[in-house]
Amino acid sequence: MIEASLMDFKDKIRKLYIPEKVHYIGVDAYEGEEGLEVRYWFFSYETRDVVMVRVSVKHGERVPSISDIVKPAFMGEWEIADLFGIEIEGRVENFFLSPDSPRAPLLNKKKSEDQAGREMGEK
Amino acid sequence: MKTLLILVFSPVIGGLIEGAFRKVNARMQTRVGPPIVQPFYDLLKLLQKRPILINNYHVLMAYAHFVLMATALATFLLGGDLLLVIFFHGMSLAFLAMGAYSLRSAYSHVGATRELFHILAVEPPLLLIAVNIYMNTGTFLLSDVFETQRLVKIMPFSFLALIASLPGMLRRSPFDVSEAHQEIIGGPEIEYSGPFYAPIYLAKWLEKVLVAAFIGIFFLGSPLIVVAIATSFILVLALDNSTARLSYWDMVKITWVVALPLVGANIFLNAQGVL
Amino acid sequence: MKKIKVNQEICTTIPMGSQHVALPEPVKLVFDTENEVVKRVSFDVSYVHRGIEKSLTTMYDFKKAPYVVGRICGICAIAHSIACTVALERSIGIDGEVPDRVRAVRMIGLELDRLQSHFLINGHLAEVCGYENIFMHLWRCREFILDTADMLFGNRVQYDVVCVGGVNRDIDEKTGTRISEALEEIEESIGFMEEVFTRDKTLVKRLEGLGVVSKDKAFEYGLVGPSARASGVKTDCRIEDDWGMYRDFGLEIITMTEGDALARCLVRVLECFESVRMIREALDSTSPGEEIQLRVRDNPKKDAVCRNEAPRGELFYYIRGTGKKIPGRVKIRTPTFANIPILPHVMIGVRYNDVPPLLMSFDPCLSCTGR
Repeated sequence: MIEASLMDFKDKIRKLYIPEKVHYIGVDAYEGEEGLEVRYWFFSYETRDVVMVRVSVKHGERVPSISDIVKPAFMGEWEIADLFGIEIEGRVENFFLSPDSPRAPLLNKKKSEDQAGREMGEK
Repeated sequence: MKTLLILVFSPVIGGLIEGAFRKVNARMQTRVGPPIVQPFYDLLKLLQKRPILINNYHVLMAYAHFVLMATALATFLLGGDLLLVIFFHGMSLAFLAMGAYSLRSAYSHVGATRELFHILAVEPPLLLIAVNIYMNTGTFLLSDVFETQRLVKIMPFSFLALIASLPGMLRRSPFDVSEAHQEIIGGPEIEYSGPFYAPIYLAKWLEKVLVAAFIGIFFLGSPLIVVAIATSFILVLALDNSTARLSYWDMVKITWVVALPLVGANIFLNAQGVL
Repeated sequence: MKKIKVNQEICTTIPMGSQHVALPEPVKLVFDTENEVVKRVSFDVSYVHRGIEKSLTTMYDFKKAPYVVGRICGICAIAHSIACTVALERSIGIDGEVPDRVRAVRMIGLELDRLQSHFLINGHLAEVCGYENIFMHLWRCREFILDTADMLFGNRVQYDVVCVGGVNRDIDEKTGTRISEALEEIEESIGFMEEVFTRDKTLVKRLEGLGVVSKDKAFEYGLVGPSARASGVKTDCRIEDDWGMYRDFGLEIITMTEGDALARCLVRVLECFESVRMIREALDSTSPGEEIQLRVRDNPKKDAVCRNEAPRGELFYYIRGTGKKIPGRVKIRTPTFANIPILPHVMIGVRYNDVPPLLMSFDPCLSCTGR
């Protein structure tokens, strides 16, 4: 597991990711007690280990896209952008959700907020 | 009286041929298949459906397609000019393409373009066969051609050329590019529905009768005429069930490369007096 | 007067989807074509999002999770169940104690699933090439495989045989021998499939050289499963993350170097032979009557991952255990998700009539992707 900050995670990924040796698995986000974090998953063909790069972000913070380093990463990024409401550069709106679905469904929101989002979606 | 009988019975025969096509096709795929009168049920069902009009021109072209196909068949069976028959047949297909072009539907457009390629692939061999028939009978008038016996004896290669262009004419795999169910979902026919699709459906039956009649020319006066027609159709179906679809360019290329030299050879041999 | 804007580039825009005959599931691909040659592709996969990840962290406790994730996909249900179960077992810490018989039964389930999935997609590929007859025949063979699964697990597609800590149903001796007989028949039909895809001229003409993915591109875009192996990438999660006994049985990774649609198809055909061999080995390795379920006392408490080889490729599960009955986060990365990014690149320059076979040769499963 590699800890990184928003400033240097792209450098760390660039150092880690060599297409022939490391397989890119996916992007994930998680909201725990420590706050929101974005995780990048890789698999190393040599050591047969799953490597996680963890980046903590704050709500509303802009996360740069890594699709210039890891080409297929854009889809996973758009997905977490929709499901967690994370602002990711170059995202496409409503890639995973339909326009009338609740916003950012995977965040641990209070119930009232969730309902408000649903009502907004209905409008 | 004879005219009336022909006009009434040819669609019935066409429907039965269509039904037999489906049945045999299903048996070749080890399925049970629909009853042989299924096309008539389909037609009745189509006529009962709610009409959905897209634009007038579109529907007009469907009827034009049907009327010209019927004219071609009537001209053929009543002993008209063979060139006119081929002309009407090509015209009828062109009307179908024109109807498809009148819409803003991508599948319809692609299908229409491919339909024109069908005409391009099939009409030249047909015309050359007509020329060959003229060489041997001295006339394009079918009523005179009908009096000749067993043309296949002197025109075997032309007959083979006709067989080779059959998949293109009947839109069967490998040359079912204009319908191409899995690509453009019926192509030029996609936007027709209900009662407006019925004329196109009927025209398909008539086209099958026309093709059968065309094969029949070669076997006039022979007891094998029905067998020959049935064998040709079964051959087409067997080919349909043992090939994948090719692209429209392949269709034009293969039909021409196979059919045109065959007719050419026959014309040459006839001219030399060998056959 | 209204001004009409004239577009310099004249393209015909052909939409494919969200519903299309060649597509088994809803996805929308929009092609800009010139003379039926594709110039640009855009896609939308959001039609089948069902919020299963959300429901796993709010509604269902971890023991129900394998059955819930089985509903993600209709074709590779057991691959999801197994990946989820293994990740949960690792999270609880009982993955070392799982008996061999359980592993064997799980392997049999997964390999049977792979067989029917490969028959399905190869049949469908023939269908979109306009080869209806082969489609009918391959799907008839698939019916037989489904019946075999029915005999084993009581269900045709949704086996629901895997549970946390074991399996729900053992395979008794009598069924075992009947399976061995059935496998011979299945092997025959795989032989038929191989013959079709190597010998049939029109089919080979359609598929050969279509959508070539070089080895470098396959690495660069992180392809998984048969699509990657057809380009010569030697990867198979059954070997890399072995939850069963694949390494003991010496599973052979089948690779090809051509990287075209035909190679992807043939890799799947050859994998079927390997699957049959794996089922045989698994049946012989252990005898019925052993313990088939562990008692699970703890809740998932650690972070755990599982990479499982679904019929379409690498299936990735991440489970964050919080010590409660409901996990904190379940992340599912499905194989199709990894195979989609390359599609726009291979589709450019291809004729529109070749697009459905090309798309189908990647074996997309959109319900998996949407989740």
